[in-house]
Amino acid sequence: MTGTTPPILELTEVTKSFPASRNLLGRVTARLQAVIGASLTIAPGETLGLVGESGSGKSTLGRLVVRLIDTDRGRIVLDGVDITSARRSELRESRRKMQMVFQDPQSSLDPNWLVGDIIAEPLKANGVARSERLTVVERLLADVGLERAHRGRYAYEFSGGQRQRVAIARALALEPKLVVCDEPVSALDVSTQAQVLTLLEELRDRLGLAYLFIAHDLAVVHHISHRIAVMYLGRIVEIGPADEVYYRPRHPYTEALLSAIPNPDPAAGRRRILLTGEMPSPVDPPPGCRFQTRCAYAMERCRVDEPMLTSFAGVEVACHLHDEGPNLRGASVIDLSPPTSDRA
Amino acid sequence: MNDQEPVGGDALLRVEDLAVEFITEHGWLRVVDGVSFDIRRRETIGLIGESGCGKSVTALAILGLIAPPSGRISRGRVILDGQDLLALDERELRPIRGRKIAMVFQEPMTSIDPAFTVGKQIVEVLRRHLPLSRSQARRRAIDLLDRVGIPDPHRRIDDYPHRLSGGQRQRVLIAMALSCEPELLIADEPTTALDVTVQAQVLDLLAGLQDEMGMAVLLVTHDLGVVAETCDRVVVMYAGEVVEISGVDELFPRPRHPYTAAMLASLPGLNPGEPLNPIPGLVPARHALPPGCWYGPRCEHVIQTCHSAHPALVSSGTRSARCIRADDLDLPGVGS
Repeated sequence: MTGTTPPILELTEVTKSFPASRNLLGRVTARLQAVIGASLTIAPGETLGLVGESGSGKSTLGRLVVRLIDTDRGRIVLDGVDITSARRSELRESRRKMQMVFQDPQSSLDPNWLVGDIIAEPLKANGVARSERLTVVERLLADVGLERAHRGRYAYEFSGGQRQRVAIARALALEPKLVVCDEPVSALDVSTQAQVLTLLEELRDRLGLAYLFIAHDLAVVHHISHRIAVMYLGRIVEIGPADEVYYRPRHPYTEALLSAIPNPDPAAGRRRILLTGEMPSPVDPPPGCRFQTRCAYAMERCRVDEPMLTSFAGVEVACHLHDEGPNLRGASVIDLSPPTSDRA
Repeated sequence: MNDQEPVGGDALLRVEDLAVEFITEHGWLRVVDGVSFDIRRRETIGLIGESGCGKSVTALAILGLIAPPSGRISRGRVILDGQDLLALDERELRPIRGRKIAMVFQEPMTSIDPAFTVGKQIVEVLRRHLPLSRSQARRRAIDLLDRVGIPDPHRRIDDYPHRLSGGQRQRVLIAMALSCEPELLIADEPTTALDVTVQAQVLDLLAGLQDEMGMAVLLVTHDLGVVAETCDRVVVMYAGEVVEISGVDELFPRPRHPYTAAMLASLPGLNPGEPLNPIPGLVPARHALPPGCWYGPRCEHVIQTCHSAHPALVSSGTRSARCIRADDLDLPGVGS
């Protein structure tokens, strides 16, 4: 995936903070550090899964990528074009290449619009003629598994899964190369979730789409992603091939996150790591490693010195365990591969 | 909870032939239809199914919380300690709710009153049900907050709910629910709004308190993983009906209803590298139920006979399934 083709998306040291409190004069007295120094690339046709819990900064990162909000520092390059500080007019072309699908189609689609109009809206905004719009809408409806007749129905008449299909059709209207999916299946029931995931995979393979797939459900992310990035308190702490991150986590937080997923196999009897306490506030993150207050392996150095992402044979991890103490040098903190798995 | 000694056969609560209707543009529609199951002492029962299957309405009906005029219980009994709760009026129900049966809902922010301190709300629950003075109740409230893992309970008791995180609010709700040591806790998606590591903490807390207090739990959830890890038995609902009841150790490896098997097959992560197997189509609308088996149109094992008569819930040993093919089908489950 990281061969010679130039990436469709490249983030370099992207940082974003928000004012968290102001004094009487309106001056900012504390800032919430939402994303700090995030660097990643996505190749054409590739799916990068981005996982983390509330407050990890994963949704902010998604919004930064599609330029719904501006970055403080760093660089965002889409398909070879630096869009970090592109103005609205310059963004139009980039927006065609990159679209977003949100978690809750109930609030991201106007229930009182006809489905055909919802899907045609981005086409209209980009000056596509009316007759052509109709043809494209029909093709898109078929692409996402809806019927032609659905064009004349209102969004509120649809189930959650169908509405998410409409949202996907709208996102695909301008033939983007990258789709940022923010928790696209979290609001759906398990059987509907499987339908929408299967649709996303099928569209990716057929249209060569790249996804930045943001979700909190690691099983879902592992299923659809080629690579996975894990965020904790604004920082990417681990990034690597999906199977490596999912089965052989290098970061203690990834290990804890994986061990917390309830396993639908009652016979599995997996060791559970219960994290103590709660995620610290992003307004007042701890010194040193951001995970040190909850990490079972924390060493002296972790309290003072913040680890940086370091690459070990294709997996990047930000943790001192890899060059001190057990000196893992890129080895996993735990092996969670299924015993029957013959996948290398 | 899974590895606890076998639970006794005595039912603490028995739901018999429960039917609940709501008024809609299509008239009165039955959203819970002939639901029967029992909950034994100390047992954890998972009530599972997808949105609209009737699982939450069943839980509300047990608590006597189906409010007229929009909803009504049209049939059935809910028997606790030999007493039919559905025959009681609101005044008679009040001492049972909270004291014998307590509840925890999904969204802690909507179940806690933001205008009162955490302590005031717990004290109120305690004093409504137990003969405690204000200061006794306050001491007990601090003790409860401590037991549910709220750090520094002496100070947090005077905090307003907005000062707590989502996980802490859910802990406070659990503290309130368990304040009178109920015999049954009904928990409707208690961890759905929480992050996965916080969910693990809250489930661990619930299991510990359940052991300690010896209460039974009815866990309403859509999360099959949570069910597998916490429940003793499982009731699966589809389109308002029970379609399967089984012990958790049998249900997951060997489901007997095709809907249960199909839900398991659509979970990501069970067969790594394999494509998912979504269930085709949608749950039928209540006013347009198909003839015969309601799951028939979506079932991959459907045969002609399935469309001719509505199947009954048939018991076989300790398990029941609403499928005429339950005995012939060898349905794949988890780990098979």
